[in-house]
Amino acid sequence: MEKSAVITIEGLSKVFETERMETHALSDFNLTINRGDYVSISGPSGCGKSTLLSILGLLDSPTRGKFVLNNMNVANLDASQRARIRNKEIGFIFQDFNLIGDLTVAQNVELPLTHRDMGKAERRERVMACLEKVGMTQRAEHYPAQLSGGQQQRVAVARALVGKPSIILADEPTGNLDSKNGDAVMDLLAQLNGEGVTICIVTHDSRYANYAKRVVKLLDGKVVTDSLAAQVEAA
Amino acid sequence: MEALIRDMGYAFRRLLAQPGSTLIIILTLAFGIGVNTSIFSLVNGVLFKELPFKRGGDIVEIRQTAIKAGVDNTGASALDVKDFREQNRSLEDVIEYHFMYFFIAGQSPALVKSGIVSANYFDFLGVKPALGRSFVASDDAVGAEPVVILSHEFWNSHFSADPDVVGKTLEMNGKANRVVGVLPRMPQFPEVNDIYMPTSGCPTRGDAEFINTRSSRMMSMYGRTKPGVSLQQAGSDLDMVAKRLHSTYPADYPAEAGFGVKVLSLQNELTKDIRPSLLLLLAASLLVLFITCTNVVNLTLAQQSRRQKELAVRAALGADRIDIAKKLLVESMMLALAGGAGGLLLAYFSLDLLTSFAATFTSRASEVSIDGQALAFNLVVSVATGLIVGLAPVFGKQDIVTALKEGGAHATLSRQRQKVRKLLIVGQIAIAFMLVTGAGLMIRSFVALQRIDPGFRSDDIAIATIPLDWNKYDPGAIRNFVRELRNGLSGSPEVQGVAFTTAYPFGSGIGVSLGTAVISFDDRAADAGGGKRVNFRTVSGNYFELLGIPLVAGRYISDSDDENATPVAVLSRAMAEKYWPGESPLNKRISPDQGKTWLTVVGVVQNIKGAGFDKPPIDEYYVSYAQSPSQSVNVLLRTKAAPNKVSALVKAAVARVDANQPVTKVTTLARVMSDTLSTPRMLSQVLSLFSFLALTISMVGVSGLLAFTVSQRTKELGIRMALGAEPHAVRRMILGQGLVLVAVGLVLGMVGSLLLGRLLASLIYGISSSDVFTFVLVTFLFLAVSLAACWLPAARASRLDPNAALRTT
Repeated sequence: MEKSAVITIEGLSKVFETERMETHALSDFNLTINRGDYVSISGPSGCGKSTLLSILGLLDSPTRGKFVLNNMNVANLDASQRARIRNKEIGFIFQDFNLIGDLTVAQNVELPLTHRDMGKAERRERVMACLEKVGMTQRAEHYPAQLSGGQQQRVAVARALVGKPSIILADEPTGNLDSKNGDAVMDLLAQLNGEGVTICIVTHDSRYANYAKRVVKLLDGKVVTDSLAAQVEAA
Repeated sequence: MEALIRDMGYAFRRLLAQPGSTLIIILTLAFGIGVNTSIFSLVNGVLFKELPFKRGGDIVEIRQTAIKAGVDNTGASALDVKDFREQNRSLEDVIEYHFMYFFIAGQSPALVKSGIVSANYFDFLGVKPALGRSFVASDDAVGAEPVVILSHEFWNSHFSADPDVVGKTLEMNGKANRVVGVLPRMPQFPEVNDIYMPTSGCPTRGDAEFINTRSSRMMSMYGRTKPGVSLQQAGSDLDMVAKRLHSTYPADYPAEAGFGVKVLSLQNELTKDIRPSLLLLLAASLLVLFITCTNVVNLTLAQQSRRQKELAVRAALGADRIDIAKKLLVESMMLALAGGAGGLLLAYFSLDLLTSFAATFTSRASEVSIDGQALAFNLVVSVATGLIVGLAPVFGKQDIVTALKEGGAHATLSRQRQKVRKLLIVGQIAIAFMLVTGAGLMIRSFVALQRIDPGFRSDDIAIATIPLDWNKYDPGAIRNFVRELRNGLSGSPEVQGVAFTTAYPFGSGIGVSLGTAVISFDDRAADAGGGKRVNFRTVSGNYFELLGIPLVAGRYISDSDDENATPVAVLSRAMAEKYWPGESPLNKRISPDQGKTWLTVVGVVQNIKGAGFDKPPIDEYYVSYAQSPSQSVNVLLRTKAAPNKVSALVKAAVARVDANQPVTKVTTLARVMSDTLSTPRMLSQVLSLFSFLALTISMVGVSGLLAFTVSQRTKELGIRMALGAEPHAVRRMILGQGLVLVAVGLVLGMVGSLLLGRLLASLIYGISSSDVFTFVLVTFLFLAVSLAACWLPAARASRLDPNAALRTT
C-alpha cells in the first residue's frame, strides 16, 4: 500500500539577502516525507539543515518553490495562518528543550492545547496521557529547573506529542544530553515512530541519524543522499 | 578614599556609556525633587517658618469677640489696648495696629497705605530702622509732631533711596509729616504698608474723644507671651482681664452682645485659610516624588537585571554584598545628586510663580525663598532618593550560581525582581490614580463654583475706585462730586450706565468692602432680636438696575432718595426673611446708630453672593448714597470698552471734577469675581500638572516594564509562537499582563482616593468627595491611557519572528 505524503517539497529555494551579498541556504530543493516515516537530515555545519527545519516547521517561508503539508499549500501564508497550522500539524523538539521556566511540566506540555478550542478537562487528560507515555507523570507539577536535561527533553517530547501533530520535527534533540540520556530520548522517538508517529530529525551525529529509517544528507543546500537507513548501514 | 574615587570613575563611565537612560533618570529625578523643593519652599515660607521677628512664634493676636451679636472680631478701642496692656500677666507687651490711606501731594495724585501703630511696635518686633530712629512714646501723644517711618520699598520708589531722607517732610492730606526713619528690607507684618505713623498721626485714632471712648473699636491688638506661658494660659489670663472690664464698664460691653476675648497664635491666624491647600500641595508633591522614585528604582532594576552576570562575577571573585551595594550606591548617588541639582534649578525658576501665588492669600509671600532650609531639604531628598534607588536592587536573595546562569544561555526571568517591579508599578498607578482623582475633584469643584449664579450680572461691568480726601470732602462735597462725575461719565457714548457704591460685590479691603452696623428695630426690643451686627452697602440710584439684581418687593433705591427725602433702606431677601419671617418688612424701620437715624424699608431685593462663591448669601441692607455719603467711592460702569480705555475715560472724568483726585484702581467685576477663585484655580492647575506628570510617569513605567518583559521573554514568546500562538494571542497576553497590573493599581488607587477625598472635603464645593462622575471618568482615562501604554510593547511582541526569537539566549 502506498503511503500518503505528509510533506512534499518541490523546487524550493531559500535565499538570505544582505546589503552586500545573497546567501543561498537551499537551492532547488526536493523532498517528500510520508506518513509514518522517520527521517533524519544530516550534513555539515552550514549545509542548510536548520533552514530546512525552520521552513518545514513553518517558522520561516521559502523564497520560492512548492511546499505542501497535509495536502495544503503552505509556502506563502501570513503569520497567523502559519501559527494555526504549526499548532495543529507540527510538534517541535528543540536541542535546548525550550521549556518555559515559569511554567510547571504539565503547563509546558499543555501549551499547544491552550491555543485550541478545547476544554480544560480534555487538555488535562491529554497532557497526563503524554506525560505517562514519556514516563514523567510524577514530575507534572515540577518546574523545568528541577529536572535533569534528559527529563526536560522527555517533557519536550510530550509537548510535541500532545497536539497529535502530523509530524514531529526534532532539531538536534540529543545535542545537550549525555550519551545515556541521548540514547534514551532516541529510543523514545523510535518507540513513538513504531506507534505510527511521523518524525523528522535534524542531527549531525551519525550515530543518532541511524535511529531513523531514512537518512537524508545535505551539502550546500542540496540533497546529496536520500536512502533507507539499512542501505546506509550496508554501505 | 581611593576605592571611592575608583567607584566614582567606574560609575561615571557606566552612566556615560548609556546616555539615554542616564538622562531620563536625571530628568525624572530633577522633576520629582524640583517639585518637592518648590512646594517645600512655599509651605516652609508660609506655614512652617517662624515669623521673622523677635520670638515670632510667641506673637499672639488678641481678638475681642461679640458672639451673641454674631461678630467674630469687634476690633479694639484705645482704652481696650491700654487696659489689656496694663492688666495682663502673661504677655511681655501689647501693640496695636490699623491702617488707612493718605493722599500725598505731588505732580500726579497718589495714595499711600499707612500702618498706624503704637510707638512700641517696632521695638516689639525687634526691628531696627536702617536709617534714623524708631518711634518713641512721645510720638503717640495727642498733638505730637507728625512723624513717619518709611518702608524700604517706599523709600526706594518715592525717595529714590535718598540717604538723607531723614528729616525731610512728606505732605499727606495737606499736612507735613517729618520722616524720622527708614525700615530695613523686611517682611511686613501683619500687612504690607508704604509708610508707618504713630497713633497720633491718625485723624481718628489721634482724636481725644475717640481715645476716651471705649466703644470706638477699630484696631487690632497683638502681644507676645512671656517665656514658658502657653497659649491656653495667656487665654485664661486675658479672659480674666476681659471679665473685669465687662463688669466695670457694662455699658461698653453689653451682655446681650456676648463680649469675650480670644488669644490666637498669629502664625496660625495669618495662614489658617490657606493651610489645607498648602498641605494638600505638599502631600501631592510627596506622592509625585514617590512615583518618580519608584520609576527610577524600576529603571535601575531593569538595568541591574542586565548587569546580573557582571555583579555575579564580582561576587564570585570575592566581592561581598556591601562591596556591591557600595558600587550601586555611588552610581545612584551621582544620579540623585545630579537630579537634585536639576531640581534646584527648577525650583529656582518657579520661585516667582510661587511667590506671586502666595501673595494672593498671605502677607508672608516675601518669605518664600530657596533658602538654607530649602537647600537642606533638597539635599536630604536627593540623598534619600539616592539611597532608595541604590539600595532597593541589593535587597533580596542573591544566588551567585543562578545569577551566573541567568546571564548566560539559560536566561529566565528573576521572578523575585519581576515581582518587586510589578509591585512598584502597581504602587505608581495607585498613587497616580489618587492624584488624578484629586485633581479631578478640584477641577469639578472649581467648575461648580464658576457655575454658581451670583445673583447679579457681571458682564461688561467696569469698576473704578476713587477714595476721596476726607479733609476736602464733607457730605455736601461728596454729593456734588458724585453728581458731577455721573454727569461726566453718562455723557460718554461708550458708557451705557453708571452707578456708585461704597462696596461692590466680592470687593475686599478698605473702601471696597461691606460696612457693618449694629442695628436696632423700631418694632421690637433690643433683646428680642435687635442689637445684631448686619452688613450694609451704600448705593446710588441705578445700582440694582445696572447689576440686574431682581426686586422681590417694594422698590429700588432711586436718585430721588436724596438728603431731603426720608432715609430709606432696601433689604436683601435673606435679611428680610431672617428678621420678618412670614411678613412683609416694607415700611418697617431700622436704625444703624442706636436710634439716632431711622431708615424706612422701601424694598426687598434678591440675595447676591458677595462674600465668596462658596459662602451662603449674607444678611445685608442697602442705603442711599445721597443720604449717607461716604468718601469710599466706587463707580460701576456698564461698558464694552477695553479696561485701559475705561481707565483713561474715568481718570479724565475725575480730573475734570477734581484735578488732584487719584483713581486708585480700575478693574472689571468679572475680574474681581475671578480673583476670588484664584486659590481653587491655582490648586486645580497645580494638581492637574502633578497628576498629568504622575500619569505620564506611571504609564511610561508600565510601558517600560512590559517592553523590558518582552525583551527578557523573547525566547519564551518564540517558543509559544512556535507551538502555535498566533500574533493576536501574544499581543493579548502581553496586554493582559499590563492591564492586570493597571487594574490592581486602580483598585488600590480607588480605595486611596476615597480616603483622600475625605481630606479634600473641606476644599471642594458642590460635589461629593466620592463623586461618581469623577471616579468613572478617571478610571476610563486610566484604562484608555493604559491600553495605549501597553499596546506598543504588546504589538512589538506580536511582530516577533519566532525563528529569530528561538535563537535568542
